[in-house]
Amino acid sequence: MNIYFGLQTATQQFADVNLWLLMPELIVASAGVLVMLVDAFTKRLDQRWLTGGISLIGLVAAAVSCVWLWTSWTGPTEAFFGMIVLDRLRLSFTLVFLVVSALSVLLSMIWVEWERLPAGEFHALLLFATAGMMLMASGGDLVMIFLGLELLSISTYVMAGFRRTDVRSNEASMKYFILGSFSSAFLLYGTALVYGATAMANGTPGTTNIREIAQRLDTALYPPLLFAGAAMLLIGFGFKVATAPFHVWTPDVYEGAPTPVTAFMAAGPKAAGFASFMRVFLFGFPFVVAAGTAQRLHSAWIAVLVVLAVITMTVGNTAAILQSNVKRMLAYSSIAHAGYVLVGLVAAGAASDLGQRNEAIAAVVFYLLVYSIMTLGAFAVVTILARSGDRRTEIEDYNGIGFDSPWLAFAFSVSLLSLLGVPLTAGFMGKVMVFSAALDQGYVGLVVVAVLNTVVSAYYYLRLIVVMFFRERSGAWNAPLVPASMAIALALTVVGIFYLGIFPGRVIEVFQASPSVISRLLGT
Amino acid sequence: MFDLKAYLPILLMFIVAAGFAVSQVLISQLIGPKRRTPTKLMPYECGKDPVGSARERFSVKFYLVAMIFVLFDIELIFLVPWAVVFKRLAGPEFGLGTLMYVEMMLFIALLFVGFVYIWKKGILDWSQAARQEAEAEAEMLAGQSGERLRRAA
Amino acid sequence: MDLSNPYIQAALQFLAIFITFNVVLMIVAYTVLAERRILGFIQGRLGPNRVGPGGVLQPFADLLKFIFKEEIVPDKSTRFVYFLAPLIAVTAAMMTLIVYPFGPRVTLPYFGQVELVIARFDIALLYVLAVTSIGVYGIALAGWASNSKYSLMGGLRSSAQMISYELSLGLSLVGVILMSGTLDLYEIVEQQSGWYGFKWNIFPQFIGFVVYLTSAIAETNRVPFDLPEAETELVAGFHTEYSALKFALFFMAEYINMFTVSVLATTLFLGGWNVPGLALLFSPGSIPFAVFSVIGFFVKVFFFLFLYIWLRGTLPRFRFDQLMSFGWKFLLPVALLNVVLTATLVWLGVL
Repeated sequence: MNIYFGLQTATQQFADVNLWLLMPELIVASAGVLVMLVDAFTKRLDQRWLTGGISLIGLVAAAVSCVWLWTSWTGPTEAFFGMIVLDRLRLSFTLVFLVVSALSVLLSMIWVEWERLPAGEFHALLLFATAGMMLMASGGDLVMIFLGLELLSISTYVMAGFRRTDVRSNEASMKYFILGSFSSAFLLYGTALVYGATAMANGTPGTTNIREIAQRLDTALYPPLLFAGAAMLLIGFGFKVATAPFHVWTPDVYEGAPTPVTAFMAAGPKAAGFASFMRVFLFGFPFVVAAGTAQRLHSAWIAVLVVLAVITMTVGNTAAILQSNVKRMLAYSSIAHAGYVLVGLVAAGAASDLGQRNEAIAAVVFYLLVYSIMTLGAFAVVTILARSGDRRTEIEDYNGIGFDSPWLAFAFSVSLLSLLGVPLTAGFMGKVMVFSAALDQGYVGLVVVAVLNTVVSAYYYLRLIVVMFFRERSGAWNAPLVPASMAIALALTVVGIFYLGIFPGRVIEVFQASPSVISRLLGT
Repeated sequence: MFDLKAYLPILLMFIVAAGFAVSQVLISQLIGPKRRTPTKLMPYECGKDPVGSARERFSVKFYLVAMIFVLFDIELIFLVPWAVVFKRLAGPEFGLGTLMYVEMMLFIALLFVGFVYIWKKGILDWSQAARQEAEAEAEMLAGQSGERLRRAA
Repeated sequence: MDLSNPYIQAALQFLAIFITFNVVLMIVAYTVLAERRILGFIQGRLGPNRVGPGGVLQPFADLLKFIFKEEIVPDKSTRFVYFLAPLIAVTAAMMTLIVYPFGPRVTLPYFGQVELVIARFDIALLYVLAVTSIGVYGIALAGWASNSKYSLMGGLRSSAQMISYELSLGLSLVGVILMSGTLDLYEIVEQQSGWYGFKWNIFPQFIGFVVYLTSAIAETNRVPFDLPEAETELVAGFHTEYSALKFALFFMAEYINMFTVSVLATTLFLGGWNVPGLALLFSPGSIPFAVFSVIGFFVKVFFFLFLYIWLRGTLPRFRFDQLMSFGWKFLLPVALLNVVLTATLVWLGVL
């Protein structure tokens, strides 16, 4: 099936080209290019439905191609000499990214209109960022992952500063840019060190291919370099997914960036960061039984991640309590959630059994899917309430709106409850999955800390609900109109939260199962 | 491994050229007369006293051109190695002609899309008047301008 | 004397470089004189004709004048950069001189077979592009370091202009590279020999040639693209504050760049030292063949230099926005089109 414009063997020998494997990314990127052109050739005011529509069509088409790859692809699972891989980790994450992106398109519609922003530019950037995220999940090579990361980062830097006339937005963009470049540098340096360390005694140069790295760990010429490289990579990914102590940029950036962009950044890039984090650490520095460099490296990074998870959860939740700004609070909440995901990552890393590892990976993906949906739901409500210019984002602004705008308050409450992890919501199922995976590996203490943290988080999530329904409003309140696109987005998130909370089995099964099972499930 | 000796003339040429340039600067330092007056050392502004500093903000257009140049120049640099090997690899020995051709045409198409984008966004227009002029001209060429222009006048 | 001894080779190379350097300086000096005389002729006046017979000693008089002029360093300038700028400009301009093949292989007594080129390496064309593009630093820094408004404007305009036209310049050469499959200038010239001149790249690459010549004229800041030193609006542009020999260095850099452009145009498009039909008269490799080839080479180069002067005598200056539009909206797409066209033809096996 290695078809490329009818090319023959010579092509395969010199260039392992397989565009089918790259289909979802290609569709999203082409849609981005198309949106860019539409943006250039249409008037600014009436372009947002057109570009938004193209974006949504592109995302749906990418999702279809992704499902097709998952269910009916029987060809090779690697292309471009291992640069692109096809496995469950990639495909499930790709679907998460597509959901995040589609929801972001929907919930940015109203904002684009309020602020009189060029919708085409925004949608194009969003699509390029999505393509970057997808490459981060599909890259089987550190270089590819770095490329995807840069594509994602550069797009999000611009998006964070999209409200050009607003100082806060500019500040957010600048901070994000500087710290983001800093973390990219860490990542790149780590890549270089790993490459150097995996050189072999017979003169073979090092490798950046993740599978080959895993094979060469024990024969690595320079084990200390390997450790340093892994540490750098860990710091780089830690920055991107905002784990403590690399989280300090998060609150400022999330607060300053326009709310729909914040929603996207909290959900998408974080999930993408975890995708490559898992790819590199689970497959690049995997669990091994035999004592040696690989074994020491593995136990080292697991230990570091356990500590990071504890710090991240605790810092996130404690700091969130102190916040008076809703966006900032949600930013700290996102840090805390990164901590919960790290618990799952530790479980996946520590699993000695392949089945258990796959279960843990599925748990992490499920958690990130759930987290993305509920975060996007929460930020959607914040977007509507904040109005143009992000004016009303303090907690006092939410006083007593519960009975005046019942639907908004309901949607917000559902999202918050789900973020807290109340039973029947998706957040609960996500936490159960992740924590049970950790328990399977015997991390009882870690899970206890996580549960305690969940209890702490109840304070600030519930406070918002209390404020909305039981606090008197001082000023006058005119309920905002909810535009259709936003209503769809909110409905999708609420339905998603309940569906994943009550009937999670099917999705989890899909994430866990081998391709053949999925084709059975889908009836193909 | 390539032979570094082939590049020695670059160094020699640099010594000659830079030596010449430095010597010229030194000669005029040593031989030329030195009768400096404060007026003579002022920045030239048509004989008037200079107003303010010259190091002020200038049009953002220059930055834009610089940035676009960097992008396009890098794309151009990608073209060069491809162009060097294209004929050989397209030949019967390798038979990669179609692959290389299609890949690079895709690349150029993307480059061109970016080019069209910046063009339509007005980054290449250096003055509003020039832009309007260009638009009027485009309309004129399209054959629908006569009436509009008359109405505007 | 052992010719394979690396030290002796280096010494010979140094000697060759030194001779080339002086020859080029002479060419530059007499291009200036020729320019003044020809412009005079075009404008119906005489031009310099007092120093020596017909004014042939004028360049030396000018040099003496430059040496004995007072050097003024504006007190507000950034001194180090102010001194550095002309050095960069002239060094960058001169650095390319070593790679040009000016004659064919020739069998000399005692030396054996010699290629008439100082340094031959396989990335020569890339080297030329790289080094000439450094020249823009000299101009931009000169404009900035003088701390005068005219200089700054001139420097900015010049930088914008040079980087804009560098794109189409580079792209126009890709066509030639595609056809020849090498960056080695010597090989490019050799590929153009035969067929009584019909193998010259100018025929298949005519679009590339026109784009190259146009953008090269803009690269050298010459009429009609001489906005950086548009004397009616910017006094003297980036070198307003330069005097004495530092001014002369800028002047020299400009003319060396003109020479470089002419040589490159000759080498890449007009067959370099190939003279149509010369192989019928002399056997290739013999000394007279080489001599006439070298003469042919310089005739072509001087033709381009004459073209420069001719243009200066005839064309008015662009407006700045016209200049940028022309570069970006016309030359760049055309150059890109040329690349696509050439690639298609090469792919189809036509070229």
